[in-house]
Amino acid sequence: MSDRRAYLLMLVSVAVIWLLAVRWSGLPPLTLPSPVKVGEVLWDERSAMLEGTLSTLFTALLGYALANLIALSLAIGSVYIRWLEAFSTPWVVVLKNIPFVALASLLIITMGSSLLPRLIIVVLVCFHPLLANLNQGLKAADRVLIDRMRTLDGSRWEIFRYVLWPSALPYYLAAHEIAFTTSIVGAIVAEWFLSRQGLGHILVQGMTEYRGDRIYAATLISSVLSFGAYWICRATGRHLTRWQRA
Amino acid sequence: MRPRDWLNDLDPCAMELDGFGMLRLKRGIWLGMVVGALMAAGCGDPKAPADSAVHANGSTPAGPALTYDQALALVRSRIPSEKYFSNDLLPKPGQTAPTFEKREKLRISMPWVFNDELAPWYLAQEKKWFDQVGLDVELVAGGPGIDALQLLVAGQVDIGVPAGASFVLHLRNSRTGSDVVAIAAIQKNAPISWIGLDSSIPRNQRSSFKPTLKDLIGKRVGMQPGNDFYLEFALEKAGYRKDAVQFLQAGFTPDPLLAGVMDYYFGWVNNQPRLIEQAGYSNWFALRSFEVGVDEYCDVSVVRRETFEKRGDLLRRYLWALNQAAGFIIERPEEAAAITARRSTDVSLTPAQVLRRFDLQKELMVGNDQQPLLYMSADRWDSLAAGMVQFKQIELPGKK
Repeated sequence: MSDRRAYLLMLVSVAVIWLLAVRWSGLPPLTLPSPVKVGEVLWDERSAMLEGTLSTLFTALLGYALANLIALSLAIGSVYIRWLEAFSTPWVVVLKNIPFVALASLLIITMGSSLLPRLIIVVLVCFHPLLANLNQGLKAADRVLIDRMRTLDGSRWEIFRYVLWPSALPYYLAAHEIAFTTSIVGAIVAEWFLSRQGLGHILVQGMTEYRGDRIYAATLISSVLSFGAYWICRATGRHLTRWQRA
Repeated sequence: MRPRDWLNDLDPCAMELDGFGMLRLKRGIWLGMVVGALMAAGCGDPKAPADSAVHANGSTPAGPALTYDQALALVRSRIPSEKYFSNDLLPKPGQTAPTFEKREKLRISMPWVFNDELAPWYLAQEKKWFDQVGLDVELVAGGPGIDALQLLVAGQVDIGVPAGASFVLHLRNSRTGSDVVAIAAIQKNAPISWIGLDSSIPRNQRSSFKPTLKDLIGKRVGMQPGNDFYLEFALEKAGYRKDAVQFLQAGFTPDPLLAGVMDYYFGWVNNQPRLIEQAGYSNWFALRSFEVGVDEYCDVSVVRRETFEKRGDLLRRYLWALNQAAGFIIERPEEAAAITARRSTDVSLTPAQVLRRFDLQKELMVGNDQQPLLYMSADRWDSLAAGMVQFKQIELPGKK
């Protein structure tokens, strides 16, 4: 089955399952609103939804960029500084497993309602897959190729650029498929706890005001964003690694 | 030999990858930065938290579109409280236990985890008042993500106890809402307060400072998520613009207040001050919302319309037992505190701590309305609804 058909099938299935669930589950609209109600709120509150979406995207993209910066620095640094990986691994393991609920209060106290605490949560959520895959990709570089580079008097930079980086790139791209989509969810969770804006805040409002339609609308937007992020990663990855299929 | 040349000898595919790959990545980063900058310019991460609150509920710093009186008139004509609250099932003072034909099970969803807020229900169980009227009661704990009214609407429980009356109004007037009826309130005046620390006295002394709304002006006020409305309503009633106060986001504990990153913290006067005292600060003071004209019932027993109409007998029994328990807290607080401390399994509390809560909330339970315990009034419901309409917390029926 082609990708396009699979996605089409998924979209149709979701709509059908949703409609059937509304009809047969007996759940109240607060718990399971109809797609029509959700569509209505998406239209009626399009301005607030757009504003929330842009805010979430901004947080997610900026946090994601920072996560990439940190992961790249650590992974590449570990290639040249022997102790760096051993030193950073315990920190990475601890940081990636911190429950954000426990952090929320600390972040509010130390940083207030600014953008920074939200970025920290996004970075914590999505930098680990990037780092893990980069490390793996760099280690998977062909040792024979590296030896030949050295024989040809290649510099460190040249070895990195022409052997290590090409080896790590497919791994790095694969990590983006996880990390980029997770950054959206991370941003929403951060907004839920720490912000007065974004899709996370719309969810808080929806819950407070018993607006099942608004909660589902925000969830739908989040899914579309995550899907878009995934699609961009896939398309970019395919383009950059087309040599593998040649 | 230039690097590209010798790499070409080694692996032509890698050469192509490098040539395009590095370039694309750079473009991608630049594109991301440009998009990010555009978004930053477009959506504007607010420097002043008060501004974001403006967007949150659609009102403006200049004030709401309706005056309070206009909103109240609309409420009384379109969503009068007589449609959704009733004192009819409450026991009259001194009433004896209702009789019953058969024992029945009753599931009640609580407003929060098993802490001392739920004292009346623990006591009704422990002192066998539920048992006396033929009720086998199961208490369902609330907590983050567990909403008492959602469980009620979904048919998971017979009675839901939301923390505040505003939840009832939200639910009834939501597009995805439901027809429910409030039948009793444990706290007849709202414990909602803005709590501060009196820096003019030592930490270990109790403050006698009685703040007014004016004291909040120009200050940093930490609000728990979804509660901005109360302060906006109070400010508007007193003739202040909402941006006269700096709204900050706060969690469920008063740590930011103790850390000095905010001047006031939004909380319940019968709850958070105890935490503040435990942290060594006896010098707290509180501006209670009902003192500035913003009041609501708290710990409200709510049922589905169908239950209200068809199971009045069951509800009368429940309310009789609850009334006994509420009276017990007022009359024998020490014994009530000992039982409550033992039953508060989700929060470790000493009887002294529970007693402190009872002391702080006694006035709120008795209320200033000259009515018996648990009774409610149409005026207070309508006033709250008017504020919520005014600040677009709820939509009036007939509108989308």
